[in-house]
Parts: sequence; C-alpha cells; structure tokens
Amino acid sequence: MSFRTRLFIAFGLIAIVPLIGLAIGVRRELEARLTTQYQSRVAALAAVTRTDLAQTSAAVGDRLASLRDQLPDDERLRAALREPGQRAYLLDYAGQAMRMTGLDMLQLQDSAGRILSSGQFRNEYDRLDPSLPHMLDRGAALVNARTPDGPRLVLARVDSARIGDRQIRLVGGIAVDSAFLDRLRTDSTLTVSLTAHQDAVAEIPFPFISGDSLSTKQFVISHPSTDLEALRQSVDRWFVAAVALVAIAATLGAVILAARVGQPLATLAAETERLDLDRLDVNFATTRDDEIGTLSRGLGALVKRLRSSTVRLKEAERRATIGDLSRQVTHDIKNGLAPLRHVLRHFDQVARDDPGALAPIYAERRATLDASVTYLDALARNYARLTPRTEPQRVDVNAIARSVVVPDGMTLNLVLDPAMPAITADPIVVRRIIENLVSNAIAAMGTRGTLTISTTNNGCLTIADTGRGMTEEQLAHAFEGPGLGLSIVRRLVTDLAASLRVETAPGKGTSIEIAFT
Amino acid sequence: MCVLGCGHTVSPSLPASPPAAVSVVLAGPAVAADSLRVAATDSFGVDLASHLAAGAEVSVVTDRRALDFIDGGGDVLVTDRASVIRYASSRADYATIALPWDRQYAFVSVSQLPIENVVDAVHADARPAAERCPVTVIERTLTPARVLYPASDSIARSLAERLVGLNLAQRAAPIGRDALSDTTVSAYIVARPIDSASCDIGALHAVPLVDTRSHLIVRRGAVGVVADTTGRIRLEIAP
Repeated sequence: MSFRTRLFIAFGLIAIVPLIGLAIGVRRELEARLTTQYQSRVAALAAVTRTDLAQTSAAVGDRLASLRDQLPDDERLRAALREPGQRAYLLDYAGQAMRMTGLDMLQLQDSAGRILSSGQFRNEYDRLDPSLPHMLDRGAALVNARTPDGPRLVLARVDSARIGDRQIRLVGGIAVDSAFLDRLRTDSTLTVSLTAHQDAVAEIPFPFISGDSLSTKQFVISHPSTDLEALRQSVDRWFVAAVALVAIAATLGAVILAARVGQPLATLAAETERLDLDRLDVNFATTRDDEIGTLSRGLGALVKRLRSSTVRLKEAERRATIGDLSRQVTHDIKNGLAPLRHVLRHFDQVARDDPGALAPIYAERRATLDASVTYLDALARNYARLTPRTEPQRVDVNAIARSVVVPDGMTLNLVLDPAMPAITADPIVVRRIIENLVSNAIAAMGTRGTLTISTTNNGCLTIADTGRGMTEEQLAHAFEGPGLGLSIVRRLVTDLAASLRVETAPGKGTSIEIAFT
Repeated sequence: MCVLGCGHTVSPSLPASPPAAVSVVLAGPAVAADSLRVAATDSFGVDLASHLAAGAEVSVVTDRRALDFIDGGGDVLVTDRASVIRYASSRADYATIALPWDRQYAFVSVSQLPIENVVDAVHADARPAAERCPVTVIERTLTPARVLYPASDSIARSLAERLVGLNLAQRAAPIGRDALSDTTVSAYIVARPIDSASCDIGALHAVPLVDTRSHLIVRRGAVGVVADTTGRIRLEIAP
C-alpha cells in the first residue's frame, strides 16, 4: 500500500468517519427534537381544537338561548302557529332567524318532531324528525342537516321554547365545512379534517348523529409526512455535501501531503538506491527542519560513516591482499624449489655412493632442473608484473606430469594416456595447478605413500594420494583461506574454465580430478 | 263610464266593443308612455307589462330591487312576489290589482305522483293547481336523482326544493348546459301558461302543482287602470 493511499485512509479515518458520526448524531438529535416539538404542537392543536369545538358548541347554545327568549314575544309567529293563512311567516321564520343569529342550521319542530320551519331547507316543512332533538338532548353532536343541495354537516344543539301551550324545539348549529376546519387549524403545517388520513397524528372524537343512531366522528389532525421527509432529505443532502466536501478536502490534503512528504521520501529512496561502497558520493544535504530533514541528515551521517569505514576496509583489504600474495609467492617458490631440492639430494647421494654415475644421472635429471628453473623464472616474472598476464598456448599435461618428483620413501605412479589432448592455457598456470596438488598430496602422506598421476583421452587429470584423507568438514574448509594450495587451485581452475572434483575419506586418501574440457 | 280620474282614451289593443260596464279603478294618466318607469320581477311579468304599457321600456328587477323600485317612485310594477305585493299594499300611494291566474307550475317526470301541500313552498301569490291530471299509477316507480328547474325562476326552484323535502327527488338543481346529456335526470319543474297546460309531455307525465298570478302595482296618479266586465285590465297612459 502506497504512502499516498495510507495518507488518504488516515484522512478518511480522521476526518470523514468522525464527520459521519457527527452527522448521524445531529440527524438523530434533530429528528428527536423535531418529533418532540411536533408532538407538542400536535397536542397543543388538539387541545385548541377541543376548546374551539367546546366554544362553538357554547356559541350555538347561546344563540339558541337568545332565540328561545325572543320567540314567545313574536306575535306574528304566534299567529302563524295558530292560523294556517299566516303560515308563510312561519315557514320563513327559521331562515330569517338563522341568518340573523349567524347559524347555518335552524329548524323549529313541534313536540311531535314535525318540522315547522327550517332555515337551511325552507321547503322541508312538515317532515317528521322526532329523534334529532331527542338525541341532541344529550349534548352537542355532529349531524347531517338536510338541504336542497344535499346533506350539510353541522355541529348542532337543541333548545326548547314554549309559546302558549305549545313546546317548540329549536335545533340549530354551525356548519362544519372546510372554512370551519381551517379556523380550527392554528398551525399552518397541521391540518384538521373529518376523514381518515394516512398522516393522522391525533384524533378528537365527537358525537355524531346519523338518522336514529348515535356514533362517533373523528376530527383528524394530520401532518403531511412530506414536510418531515423533506426536512430529513434536506439534512441528508447537507450531510452528503459536507462529507463530499471533506472527502475532496481530504483527497487534496492527501495529495498535497503526499507531494510534500512522499516526494522527498521517494527522492531519498532513489538516492539511497544509488548508494554503493564504490559510490558514496550521494549528497543528502538538506535545509528542511522536519522529520524528512532529520532523516536526510541521518542518511548523510550514515554515508559519511560508510565513507570512513570504506577507507579503513580498503586499507585492511590491501594489507590482507599483500599478506596473501606474500604467502602465495612463498608457497609457489617453495613448490618450485622442491624438485630442485630433490634432484640435488639425488645428485648428492649419487656423488657419494657412485660418483661415476653422476654424469648420466645429471643428464637424466637435467630436464627436471631446467623445468624448475624455467618455472621459477616465469614465476618471478609474473609476480614482478603483479598482474600476471596469461599467454594461452598448447600445453602438454602429460609432459608436466612427467616432471613431478616425489621425496624419497614415496612412490610416484604415472598412468598417463598418450591420447590425452593438449589443452589451451598458460603453461605456468597448469604447472601451478599440478605443483600445488602434488605438494598437498605429499603433505598429506607424510613420509610414505603412493602418488598417482593419471590422464585420460577426454582431457581429465587425476592426482590421487594414499594420505590421511579428509572428513566432510575438513573438505568443506579445504578451499577456504587465501594463499592455501587448494584455494589457489580452485581459483586457477576457474580461470581456465575447467572443473574440479574431489573424492576423499578419512584414512583413504584424496583424489582430485580436473576436467580441462 | 268614468269612475275616477277620467279623461283618457281606451287603449286600442283592447276589444273595440267593450261590455256596457266598464270601470276605471285608478285615475290618470299623468305620465306619457315613453317616460313611464315600468318594471317586472319575472319573465311572465315582463311580457304582461310590455303588453299593458305598450311603448314603455320594461326593466327586470329582483325582489329586493322591486321594493326599492316602489320606494323610488316607480310607476308600474308587475310581480307575483308575495312580499312585494304585501309591501305595495301597505303603501297608500300605490294600488295593487290582482291579475288573472295565468301560470301553472308542473312537475314533469316519468312517474305519475299525487303531490300535495306545495303551495306554501313558494313566495308568490299561488294556489293549488286548479287543473288535475288523472293519476293512473300510484306507486312511485322511480325517484329522480335530480329535479331541475329554470335557474332564473325562484318559484320553480322553491317547488323543486319542496319535492326534495318530500323525498320525491334526491336533489334540486338549476338547468345547466349538461342537463340534456345527463341521463340521470328524469324530472323537471316547468312553468307554462295555464290555458295551454296538458297532462302529458311526450313520454313524460305532468303533475300540476300550483297556479300563480301576477299583480299589477301602479303608482296612483301616474296611469289609469281600466277593467272591463270580463276582467281584462288595460292601462290608460297619457299621449
């Protein structure tokens, strides 16, 4: 995961997640408060509606009471009640009285329930409706008053007047229409109706007379859920906008921070990748005073210490190389001198035992002397140049093998295949390989043993001894250590692109095979 | 024979050979025809006023404006409104003369129903219909959804509402443009001249409800009113 991604996630966790939590909390709190406030408003409106209904009922009662008091004083009404010829006045009376009192319903009924005069429906006279005033005796109720245009819902009450020996029932009321319901509504967001509503929040029961039955009708207080939903959606929109804004800000912040922090880090990483022991010139100098600056200065100090350590390391390596070279020179010279020493000891023995045979022996061994001297001379020249320059040429491995001399008490067994092909290499290098292997074998055998040198027609050279052999652990460390015989052999074999194989076991000698092809 | 305020000629529109007994009920005239202020409260009254006061312009007024017309010194008013007639009767400067029963309101529907007790429903000088149509089917076969009446005729409206009050119709409504296309309508209140009333109108049956008549209200001193022995009335107007 990139540093930029981590920064972005960190910004998200730090900014967006708390913001979402805050928004959810605010939304819940807002909804809770709105609900509480809303419930209070609904309760208040319900209380006001109940009060208004009670006041309306009282107002109807007051108007009917006023009519009740006035009715007996109207002599024309008395006459109309008594004389059929005056009936027109009676029929028009309720209408005029209804308009005068501001009622929407007024009907005068006799004790039998016959409608004598109806304000809302003048020509309904003589209809019998005894149950209405009887049921209204229990209190105000909603009734469906008949009109020529259809029923009209009215909040009605009843009163009684006595004219002479006749009892007149006064049934009056106020129309419960849309205007009435609007007057009940004191809150612009709440509505009052008489029909069931899916957004109903409160219901106020009121007695309802329909025909001869008394039931209950509900004043339904409703609140359009769309308002609350719109508020929720508005909050959600603002919340989403805030989250989006913060997300954009977080992204920009992450990008800017990544640019300000990630870019220097990337530069540091690239500079660090250029670092090498042979290339410690990388400059980590900086003027920044932040963490990046601290890191740069730390890397600069590290490079400085590396430079110092490298100098010391190179000095130590130079010294070690010189020592190694010295040991190798000593080893090579000793190897080159060994045949001379053996030949000279042989001459000395022949001169002491059989002086007359010295000349033929000398002739026999002169080649060995010449070869050793030539080897030492070439060795000297190579080391004089310090960087030996190989001169590949056709080398006869069998010839070199024949020049090998072993100390007295040891047996040299040459199993040389004449078909051994000549190899292309520096003869000094080949000789150094053979001299080193022979020297190691003689050392391994001590004073007695058999050294076998064999070649094959496929370019393989094997030098085997009957010495003490090596354990696996000894074999593992046999090629370690600069300047030692086997390590030199391995390096020289590698230079010739040849291969080397060792077979050894403790007490069973060692056999080293070199495949030149 | 001139009884009151003589000196006016008899209208040529009336019969040329009147009976011997001709009475003048009001003196006059003092106002020329073209300057007479004549009004009526309904279309029947307008026709009547135009006939009686030939040459005068007749205006149509509502009941309330009819009272204002009287208070404002109008010369001739033809109306059947009971309240206006009562008010004019109470005024000494106006004479009120009942004209013949000339209109009949009938309930026209597919049913033949005996309908009683409707006279009190109208605010007009009305009586139960003198003519009776035979009722062959007593049972009510259909209660019309609506009973329609001419929108400008308050008497017809009152009768329609009375029918609703008697549960003979569900609702009263003025005749509108959609009346003919409304298949639920099957009843009407119609006003027609009393001398041309019939019991059947096509496939519908007419049930006469009330007869009405207009009253001639004249300002005393403005015009002369002459009634012959047949009950015909004519106005005498200054040339």
